[in-house]
Amino acid sequence: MSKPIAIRVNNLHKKFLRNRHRSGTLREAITESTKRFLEMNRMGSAQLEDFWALRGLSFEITQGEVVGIIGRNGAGKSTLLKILARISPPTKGEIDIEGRLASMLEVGIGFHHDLSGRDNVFINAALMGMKQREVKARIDDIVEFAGLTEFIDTPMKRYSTGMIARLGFAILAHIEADILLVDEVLSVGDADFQRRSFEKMEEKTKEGKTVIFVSHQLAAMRKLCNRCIYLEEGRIARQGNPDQVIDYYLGQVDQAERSATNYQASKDEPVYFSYLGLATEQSQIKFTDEILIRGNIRVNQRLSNIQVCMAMLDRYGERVFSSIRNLEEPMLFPGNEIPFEVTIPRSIIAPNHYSFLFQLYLPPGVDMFDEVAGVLPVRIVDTGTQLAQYENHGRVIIPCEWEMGNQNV
Amino acid sequence: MKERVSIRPVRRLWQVDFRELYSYRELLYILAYRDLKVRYSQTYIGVLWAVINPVLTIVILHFAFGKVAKVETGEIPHIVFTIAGLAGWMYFANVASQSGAAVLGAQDLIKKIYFPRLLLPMSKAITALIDFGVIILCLIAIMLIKGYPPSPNIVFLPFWLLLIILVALGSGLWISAMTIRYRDFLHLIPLILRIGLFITPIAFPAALIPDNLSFVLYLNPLAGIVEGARWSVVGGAMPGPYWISAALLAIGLFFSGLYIFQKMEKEAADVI
Repeated sequence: MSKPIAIRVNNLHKKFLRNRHRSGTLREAITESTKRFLEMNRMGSAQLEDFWALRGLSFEITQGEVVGIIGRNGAGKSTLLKILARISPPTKGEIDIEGRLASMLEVGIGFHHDLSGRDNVFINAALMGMKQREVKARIDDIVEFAGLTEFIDTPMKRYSTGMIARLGFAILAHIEADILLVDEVLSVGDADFQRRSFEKMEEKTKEGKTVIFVSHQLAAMRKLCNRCIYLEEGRIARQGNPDQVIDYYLGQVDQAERSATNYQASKDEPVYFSYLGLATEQSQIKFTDEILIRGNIRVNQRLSNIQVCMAMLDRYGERVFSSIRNLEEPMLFPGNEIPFEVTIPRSIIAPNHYSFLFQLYLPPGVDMFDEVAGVLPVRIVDTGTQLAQYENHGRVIIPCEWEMGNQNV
Repeated sequence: MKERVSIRPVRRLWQVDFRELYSYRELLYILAYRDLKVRYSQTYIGVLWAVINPVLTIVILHFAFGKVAKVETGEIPHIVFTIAGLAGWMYFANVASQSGAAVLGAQDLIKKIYFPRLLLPMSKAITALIDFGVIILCLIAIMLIKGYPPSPNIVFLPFWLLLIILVALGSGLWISAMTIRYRDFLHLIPLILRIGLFITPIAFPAALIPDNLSFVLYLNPLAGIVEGARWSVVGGAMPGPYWISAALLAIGLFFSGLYIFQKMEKEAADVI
């Protein structure tokens, strides 16, 4: 008989409204709507900012499994954890969880520095879903594990950050749950505390707890996990033996940095990108060179007017800039394949890693026909000029005029 | 019996899960306890403010309505009349003004852990009960000193308190929901409360308002409730039939607040 299922995820989707058109304050909302009313301008750009963080994840985790989730930034790891932790609702799909789940997305949630360590243990543990009775039974162990026996009744504002983190982790380590969701919490405290935390996690896995892990510490993953899931653009790219999946992942990261990867697709959408690629063989592009992108848009249905958007994304998936073009009727007939070229001017994008986002949508924000995010990874390299130093100083380089020390100014 | 959780997209219109709320009752008490503990650990100013604010309000209202305008309150001393009216109002004002701030202040919690978000305004409704109790006790003390013992109607006080809680929590939920949506909504609250303080019959009897206008006064559910609560402590004339509309408004406010709050809370963690 196979082991019982702890978590079953079926066809999970999550859509975010990024940088939403909706206003965050009443003042903005009032000025916005007045403006729109006066201009009769209904060109909402809300749909433009739809972003699918998860696109149909399905997997099962059996009881006692330790599963690591890896992937590049923006691949959907944290989104998946947040949905499993019920912080954010899914857009589509189902999840069934058997057993008590404790989410450990951060240490020391709800800590208040005016209160004593003891009070904070009770508050934090209650937020983590522990019953008061359980906390009372464990508080001595928690305090001892954190090494704070003498300080537990002092207000937390007298604690060092290390002490706070230790107390936070100590609570997490003593939570009674069947399933643990863990996000980078192993990296708190000093080396000695980290070693003990690691041992504690190992202990949990040996006790037969189901653990889901998200971490950038691949070495720890190799040691702890029975299985790894590699996410790419909100889908499972590969899963299985941790060593194999992690090696594959590292290979992917390497490859993305070296050779240009082009995008090809065939879809059932009214209109979609069938090809996207860099004009160069290499994904390394000199700062002083233009970036030339070629693509094809395939039309399946007659449409009157759509917009094409290309955006450059930085390593964290944030937009560096966007460029939008209209596509008009005469070209939008079924069966047509529209080639296009985009040139990004030279000497503007700061040396770093980037990728691209392409979208096809209806202007009033009704329909998103196609969205391809994180494709065409490029690395802008500096060619030995003094601009290399800009790598971590913003995403664009604007030539500014400086005048310094001139007494006549 | 093992716990079992199913996570589904938000579809249903009404999804306030009272069973879940009940299972989180311990956390509710802990959150309320945390508020109180923080308030009383933060120097004396926090505590002092909790005293100064009602005392000052009472003094101003008593001076303006009792001494200057010389409002007639029958055999009930005006100061007693005012405090009895203010107790319910203060409870309402506390909950209404703190609920939105509680939700906004808990942004970190909301983004990091799941718990029914309703607990945040609800915990304010609990802590404000303590201030309410203190005012009522002070009122009874003053009444005894003035030789004016509390009315036996006081057995009905819990009923009026329940209505006050419904109005306060209902408004608190509305304000929290609006605060999630518009972060600057909170700035409007002090203004609304200041107006409310004067259009609610706290320091003057509702009977002062001409009959043909009194229905306007009673559109404010607190008007009928404040009068009822006062009647139950100090006695006097029975509240008129307007208490029924006040009760209906209170219930409506509470449930519409629940509805709008649960609709907005889903967005709270997703706004990037």
